[in-house]
Amino acid sequence: MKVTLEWLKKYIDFDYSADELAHHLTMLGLEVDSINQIDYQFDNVIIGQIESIEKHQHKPQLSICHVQVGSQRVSLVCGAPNVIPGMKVPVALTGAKLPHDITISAANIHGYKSQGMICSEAELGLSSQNDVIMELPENAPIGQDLKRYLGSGETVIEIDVTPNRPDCLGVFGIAREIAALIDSKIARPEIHLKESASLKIEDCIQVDIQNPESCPRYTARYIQGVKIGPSPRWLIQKLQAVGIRSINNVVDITNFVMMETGQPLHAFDYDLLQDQKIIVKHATEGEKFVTLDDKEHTLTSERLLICDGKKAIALAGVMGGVNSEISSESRNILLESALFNPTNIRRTSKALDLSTDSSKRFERGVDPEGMVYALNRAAELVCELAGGELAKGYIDSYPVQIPTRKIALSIDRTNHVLGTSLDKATIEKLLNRLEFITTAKDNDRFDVDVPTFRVDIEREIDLIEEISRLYGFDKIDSRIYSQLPLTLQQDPGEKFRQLVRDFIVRLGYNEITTLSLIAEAHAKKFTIYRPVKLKNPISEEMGTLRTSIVPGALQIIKWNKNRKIKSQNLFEVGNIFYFNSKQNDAHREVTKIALLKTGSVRSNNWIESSRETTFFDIKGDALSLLRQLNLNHFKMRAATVEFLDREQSVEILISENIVGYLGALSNKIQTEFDIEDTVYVAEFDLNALYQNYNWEKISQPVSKFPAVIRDIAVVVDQKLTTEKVEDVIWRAAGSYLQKLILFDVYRGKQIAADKKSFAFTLTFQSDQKTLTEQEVESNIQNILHALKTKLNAHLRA
Amino acid sequence: MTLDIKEISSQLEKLKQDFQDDISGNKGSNLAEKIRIKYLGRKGQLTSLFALLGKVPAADRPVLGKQLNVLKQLFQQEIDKLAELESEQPQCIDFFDRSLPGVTKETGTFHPLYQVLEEIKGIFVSLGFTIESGPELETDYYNFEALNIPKDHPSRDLQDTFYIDDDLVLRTHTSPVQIRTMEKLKPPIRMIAPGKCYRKDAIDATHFPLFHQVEGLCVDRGITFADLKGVVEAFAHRLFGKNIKIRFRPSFFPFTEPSAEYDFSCVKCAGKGCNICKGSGWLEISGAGMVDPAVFRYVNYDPEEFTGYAFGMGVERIAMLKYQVADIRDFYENDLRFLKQF
Ligand SMILES: [Zn+2]
Repeated sequence: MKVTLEWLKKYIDFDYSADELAHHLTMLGLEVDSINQIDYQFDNVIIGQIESIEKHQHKPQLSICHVQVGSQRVSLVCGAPNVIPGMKVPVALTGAKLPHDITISAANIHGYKSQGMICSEAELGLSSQNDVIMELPENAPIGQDLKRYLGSGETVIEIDVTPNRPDCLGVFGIAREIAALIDSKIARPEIHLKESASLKIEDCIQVDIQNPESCPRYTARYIQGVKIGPSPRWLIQKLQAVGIRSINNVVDITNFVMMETGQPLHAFDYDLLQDQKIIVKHATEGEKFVTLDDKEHTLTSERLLICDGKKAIALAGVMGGVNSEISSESRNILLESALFNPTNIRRTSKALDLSTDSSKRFERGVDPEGMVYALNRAAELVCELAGGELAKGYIDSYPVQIPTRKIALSIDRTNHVLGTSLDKATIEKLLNRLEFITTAKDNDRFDVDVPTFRVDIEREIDLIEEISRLYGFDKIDSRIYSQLPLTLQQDPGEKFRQLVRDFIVRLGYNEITTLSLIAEAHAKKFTIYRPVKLKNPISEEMGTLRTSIVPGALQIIKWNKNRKIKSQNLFEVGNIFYFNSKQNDAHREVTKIALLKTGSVRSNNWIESSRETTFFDIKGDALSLLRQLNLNHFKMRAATVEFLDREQSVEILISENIVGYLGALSNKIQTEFDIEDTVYVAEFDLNALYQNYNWEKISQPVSKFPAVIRDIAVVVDQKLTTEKVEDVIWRAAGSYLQKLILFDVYRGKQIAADKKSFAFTLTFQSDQKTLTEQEVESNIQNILHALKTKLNAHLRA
Repeated sequence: MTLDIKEISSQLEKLKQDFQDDISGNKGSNLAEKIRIKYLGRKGQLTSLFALLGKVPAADRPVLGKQLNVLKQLFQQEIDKLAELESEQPQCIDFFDRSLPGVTKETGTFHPLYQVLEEIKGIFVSLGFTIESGPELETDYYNFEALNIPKDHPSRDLQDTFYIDDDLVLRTHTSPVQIRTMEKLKPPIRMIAPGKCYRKDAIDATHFPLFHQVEGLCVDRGITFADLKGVVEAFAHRLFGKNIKIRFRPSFFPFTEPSAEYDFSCVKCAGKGCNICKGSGWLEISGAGMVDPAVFRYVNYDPEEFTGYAFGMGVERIAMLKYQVADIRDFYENDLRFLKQF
């Protein structure tokens, strides 16, 4: 909502500068977004008086005006028809500046030397009036700078009005707030109407509200014989300052009064109405209507229409129809000032995607007692600026009276909510300044009458807010309330999440956070479920909720690769989404942990050379994480997900449930995301890990007896997995075997082509005694025997 | 004379340990060759042990033989590896160059947004708040209705919402967690709800469709606006220091009344006016207020018995102020050169 300082001062007298006013309004809840000075767009234009006029010798439509400008007398060529001797006019002499970067220089016009020009309002950027010279009042001082004479322009204050304050969508409303601040009252312009003696409103129009639930009140006036034309400069200037384009005098007046009072008005061309009737009723299903902006709408029966005897003429409260629009030919007009149901208007505005200055006000609520004033104010201005004969009386169809509100307010309650100790007199005074009428009931309670323009005030708490707002939040002393129990339970899930992130960072990963909105094509590739799509996305690329963290993270990998960062360890903990076809298509939201690794695991340095990341690096990181979390009872098996490489991938299970997967991305995905170096990923379900996590940690004594370490190397079939060999070793070894580490895998000349060699370090230890050589040796023999019989494995010679 | 195989085994064990120490110890020049001579040379320590084979009982010979061979192979492999490394390495025979670069490791980092979020959480936990969470995919009821934002009400325009269908939205704030927590627990409640939120904003330097919010709620008997001011001030002082001033000004939120916006004095210019605060000396932080009685009715709390306050804050906003980040997109680009600064 834009207002100007100059406009406000018409109704309330105050001394604040624009900056001071902005501060006070902001602290009152009317946040000022900006202050802008609208200046005139001309410079060095002075006031002159035409002394005499002669016709141009060859061009009779041109006059040569001899103009007194104070210091000198100049001769100016002029084409306008309205110049007469004695007239005071704006004069732009050589060197003056006009809008659109025009600088005046002496010109030779049809053989006559002109030293400048006499200006119209349009030429000065003051209005669109371009066919006549601007006429200045008789007392305008000759030679004075025009800017100084006209006074300042408009200081535009833009206010961010919250949805609960429709009263402040009018200059009156903001003036009232200032009045409350300085403990004063606003002065609304008094209205003096000259009504016709013979022409009566009842003879001109009949109003029938058929749906009073959607239109509780309808008022109207009729004016005959108006002259539609351009608006005067002051009106255009005010409307322009608040961002409304000038159309013609009658339309401008309806807009001006709306801006002034907050009550939207509409003017119809009376001669285009049939049967001298206004009928307010809902549309018939499927009815078509063309609004002023030339758009055709198909309506449902919920839409409210203003109709004449035959047809619809306006979409009630939103926009008029093209079929009854005021035009330059209009002679007789009907002014409407009505009240419409806020919800109905909002639904219409949303459904038709048509938001107007009018609908914005109606959907928030307008003063049910304010429409007659607005109607009369507009009628007065039309008679003044467009002439015409005002019919006697006005229509006021008000089928269902809107009750005024009386609210009980407790002083105790007020102080209880605010943490203040305001007394009765202070509270009463604050409310009165806001035009609430208070009646004391007892020592603690008031009855408060709410002014009709405050449609937002319905409950005691609304009054308490009003009191606190005007009293000032800064005057409420803050307090640290410490009597709440300090033993409220923290959520362990939150702590677990923190723990996981800590461990991952220790593994050398950089945490990222990516947008959960991705392209549907990407979302589909990382799930077996139906992705969740947005109904109203910003774009297709951000149209679907992620089904995995990986596709979003791959974009980050690409971003960094493009910036020559080849090696990356990234992780994110975040939610993914899908519809679960196995559970009635219910939507699911699951927290995932994703690790991504690419490039080399070690950078080149003068001691060691770099090494490329392998499958076993991501596997190792995943294992480290699981072990850190004491989750040792997991299993791994070949993964079945499509986006991973068929060989270099596994899924991870805890008690037969899949809790995650890891591996290299498939070539297909690498190609689709246009990433050359292999990316290794691991993704876990946070909640599944959490379910298996044991918070209790009980210390285990460490053995006091020495460990015995032995290495063995065995030759096995090429196709035998490490897992199987290790499994046999663990089963064959007694309880003394504590640790089994594979330290070498060899394939080559020294052994048969279809064989490979595994070398293990075995650590034996007892927590009861020092192990003897025989005990260890017998263990080793058992192991070798088992390897031989079960896997046909031989000790390497 | 026969030797006890057990004794030789433990000798072997010790030899292996010595070897490991030598090979992983300080690098000298030609270390590989020195170690080879020491262990595997003609008079090497391992070589000489092979001579003992003949002195153990015949039955033990194969076992010992195997052990010796395994060890020999291991030694040879390790020495070869070392030799290979040495041949690639710059030699520093003449003097120890202590200015050669140390071998550093790339460490992990937490995302700056989450570093700030953890700090915020830490402050509120120390003030006695619990941390609660809820879904990002939320129903219309929790995101709007129960927060006193009815359908067809202009207050819905305060936020541009992403819809999945008529009933399902991406939450526009973490306030639904208030409702879920109040449904679950009876007062006293003192909680914060941190998390991701979504708004259909066009992306620019200060807007991103995804952002992180922390919403706080405190409900009990006798809670007042003065308590709200107290807790926000305590938070501001802990986060930005004692000199920060806090300003509350009236505003409107459907779920609080009275409603306020709160501002901090500018963290850069201390209120004098600069580019960050656009000359005003104040930084808008977020909204707050006393819980609207209508919200209490949705969760079956008696508004006559209980009062409460709620407040919100944007993690991005605070992180931008704290780290002087000018563009919100920096947080979501995840450029490693940016992330590693924190
Ligand atoms: Zn500043």
